[in-house]
Amino acid sequence: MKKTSVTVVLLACALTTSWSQSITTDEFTLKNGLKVVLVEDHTVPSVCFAVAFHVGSRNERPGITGISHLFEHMMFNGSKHYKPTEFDKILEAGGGYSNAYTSNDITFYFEEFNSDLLDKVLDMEADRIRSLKIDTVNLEQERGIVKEERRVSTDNSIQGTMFEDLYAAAFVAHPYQNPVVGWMKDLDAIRLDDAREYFKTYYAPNNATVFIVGDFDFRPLKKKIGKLFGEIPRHAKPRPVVNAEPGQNGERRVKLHKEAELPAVAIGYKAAGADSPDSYALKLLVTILSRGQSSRLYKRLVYDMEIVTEVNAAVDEFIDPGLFAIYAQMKPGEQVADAEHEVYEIIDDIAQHGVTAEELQKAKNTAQADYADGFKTNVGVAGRLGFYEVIHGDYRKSLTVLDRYTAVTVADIQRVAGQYLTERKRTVVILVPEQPGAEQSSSH
Amino acid sequence: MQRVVTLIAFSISIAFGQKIQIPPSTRDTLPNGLTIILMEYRKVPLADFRLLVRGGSSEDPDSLPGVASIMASLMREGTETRSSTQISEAIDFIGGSMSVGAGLDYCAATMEVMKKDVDTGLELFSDVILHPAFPNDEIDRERKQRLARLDAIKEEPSAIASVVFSRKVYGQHPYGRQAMGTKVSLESIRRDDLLAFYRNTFMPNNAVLVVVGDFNRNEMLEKLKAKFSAWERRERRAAPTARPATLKGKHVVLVNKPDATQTQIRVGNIGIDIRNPDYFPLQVANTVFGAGFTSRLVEELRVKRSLTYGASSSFPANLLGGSYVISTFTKNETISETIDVVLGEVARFREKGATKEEMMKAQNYIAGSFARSLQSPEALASRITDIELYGFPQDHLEKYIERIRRVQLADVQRVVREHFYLEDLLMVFVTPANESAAKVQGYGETATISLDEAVE
Repeated sequence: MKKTSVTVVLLACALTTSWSQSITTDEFTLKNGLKVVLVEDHTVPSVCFAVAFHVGSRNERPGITGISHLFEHMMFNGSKHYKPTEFDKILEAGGGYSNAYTSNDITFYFEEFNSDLLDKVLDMEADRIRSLKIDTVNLEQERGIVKEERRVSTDNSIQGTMFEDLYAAAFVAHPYQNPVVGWMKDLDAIRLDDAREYFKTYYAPNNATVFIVGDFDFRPLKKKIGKLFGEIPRHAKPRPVVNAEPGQNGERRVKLHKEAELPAVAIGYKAAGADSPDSYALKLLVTILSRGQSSRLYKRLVYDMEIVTEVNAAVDEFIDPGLFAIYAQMKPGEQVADAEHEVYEIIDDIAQHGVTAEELQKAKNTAQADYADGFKTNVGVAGRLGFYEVIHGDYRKSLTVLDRYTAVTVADIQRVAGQYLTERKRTVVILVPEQPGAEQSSSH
Repeated sequence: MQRVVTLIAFSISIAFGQKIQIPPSTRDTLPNGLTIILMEYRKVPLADFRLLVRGGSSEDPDSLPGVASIMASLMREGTETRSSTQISEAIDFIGGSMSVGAGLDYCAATMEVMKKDVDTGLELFSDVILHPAFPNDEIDRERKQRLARLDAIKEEPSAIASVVFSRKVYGQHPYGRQAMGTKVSLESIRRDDLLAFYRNTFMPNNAVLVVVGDFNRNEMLEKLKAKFSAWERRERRAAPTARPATLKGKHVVLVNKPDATQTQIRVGNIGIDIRNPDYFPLQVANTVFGAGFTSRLVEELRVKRSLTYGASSSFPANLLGGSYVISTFTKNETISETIDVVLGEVARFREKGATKEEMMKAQNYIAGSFARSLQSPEALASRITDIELYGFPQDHLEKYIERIRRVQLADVQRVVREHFYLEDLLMVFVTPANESAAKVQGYGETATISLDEAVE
């Protein structure tokens, strides 16, 4: 992310689900392929402008990992008609802010501002998509900043390092093996031509969708967008990413020795692609396992046995299958093996005996509340529509997602637990704490 | 029943010709003294409840930091008629969320539920507030959980820096205590301590209950009266009034984290209390210096020199006082350069103040953020309880932006000199101490502490 936080760490993501509430969307596509989706809402005199590009670390190759995210940073540093930092200064002076995030599959830019600034924002956005200033100054500045970002989010974060190891071990062919922020040495190696090539390939109007949510009038806006964005040339469609990941046929175990106070474990199972029907059952299973104090993992490991400080589960909502991951941090004196044993027993129990109808209903109710939550703010609406457009292939799917959750049965939950959460599709990272200053710990 | 109804729909002007409509609210006081504020807001089918009582961690007994925080956490872990598990099952089943927590000056219980589940939610919410049982086995569970959490914090450089900064900047003042508890206090806190704290804070005449969301106002008021009318009024002990003292001289604390490749940095002193007349000019000044993405700190540390990914300054303000803190991080090699830039910027700000253009940008930025923050029901509920807690004027929301806009350049210059300390500073570094000691030499009187000393 550009400002506050890091590239997507799996467990930090909230479960995002949708429910069919009535919002009205207008949609049109310019001749150059740029798709625009508008949602009028006059609750506050503010607008959210967002643009989603169909690109992320999934599109990267070895040697330049991290370029998607580095490039996202470069997008704020000036274009033909706007000097570096002017973009943000104009926004903040207009009561707004900008931000962006990069993940495996998507790069998403957004800004919120007082409604009277909309014309200016359209002009600035069109200008940077048409004619971003890609030069050495811009690249070197952001290279240094992104390396600091990597240090804070990964190198000096135990959980960050564990999850980097988990994906690196779980995926042998798919780019999901690489961290979104990039490997440190790749960050040093990315060159100016790489950035130019990247811009040309992926930042084309036909590889983007614009979302505008908030306080505006539809008619004049449509015309302005056509005028400002219509001239940006279309480019050849980027080459599709091949999902070359072979099936996994055996558990992979990784040990991480690092200065730490408490042992911890991260477990990842190969999951389903976001648009697969199974992905909805897996998301409900996540809730049943770890959402709230009554969830199965929390109840057993935190509450009844008191062996962990925390336990969480999450499932990736990626274009290609990502991971269904579980993380637990042990209490002092407790062994990772015991947490693993309990986690596997709980999963096996669900695979063999299923869940109760009440548990499934609880998970569906939670999904419903999450759905409502996403409609609180303009940026929440834009973020959800953009995510579905890129990851699920159509923003409108975010409005019918309720049906997909409703369709999940107790039998589906049991089936996906048995089908996906198996030992052979599992990768495990174990954190072996070292005392501060020690060279290496004992191993066995 | 005493009923004071103020039904005002007011609008705020955020820029020329633009208005925010704040939904109307009603304010009632029950005979037992409970203040109830209701705001119908139907953007999403949710209802947000927030009950706030005066008295938080700063009222922990001297030798027992953590009492307020544990008491608050325990409230939802068992009532006279419901076990912890029953409460969790019930709130989770409706997809709701409910928590109780302690701040420095207050405790707050919050709940969000779907519109259709308001009755179920309210039954749980009121039970947790009115009849917590503080079962001993739950207290022990929480105690062990927190002891483990103290260890876990030592793995998180940013959290370590914040814990040490708070303790050192507030010194002996109650705001400086480790509010989640210490290794020593967690072993000694007993059920009676929690009960005593509960009894001295959770009483209707010391509470305000705000509900914002999708409901009918009259029906909601009847529901709340049915639940809370029998709550008994009590006497509350006088709250502390001593204010934290400004730190004198320059003090450097190195927290030794041998494997860190990046150093977390906090620099600051005591700030202002939340009712200080300088609050608005200082918000503007701080935005120029260290808030948002075009602040001087971001410009100088990040944009011009690539020294960091993030840099900010803030003046967190409480009833009795607050702090002034500049936060950033940089690779170990560039600590000195980073500190020199930070101190240089404070010096320049003190000397020359802000430009008119910077001030106006900051005012607009604050106005826009404020307007957007009123979109979600829980944020509205929180703003409204703050008015009651801090005794802000009733037109606080309505006039907030106007008060920001009224700030003049001379006010900014004055508060900068008064509150952006340069000669009296606390500087905390979480860093490999051996490697970094030489880099911070000359910044002030230096103490090096271990992680065990950092997190008490």
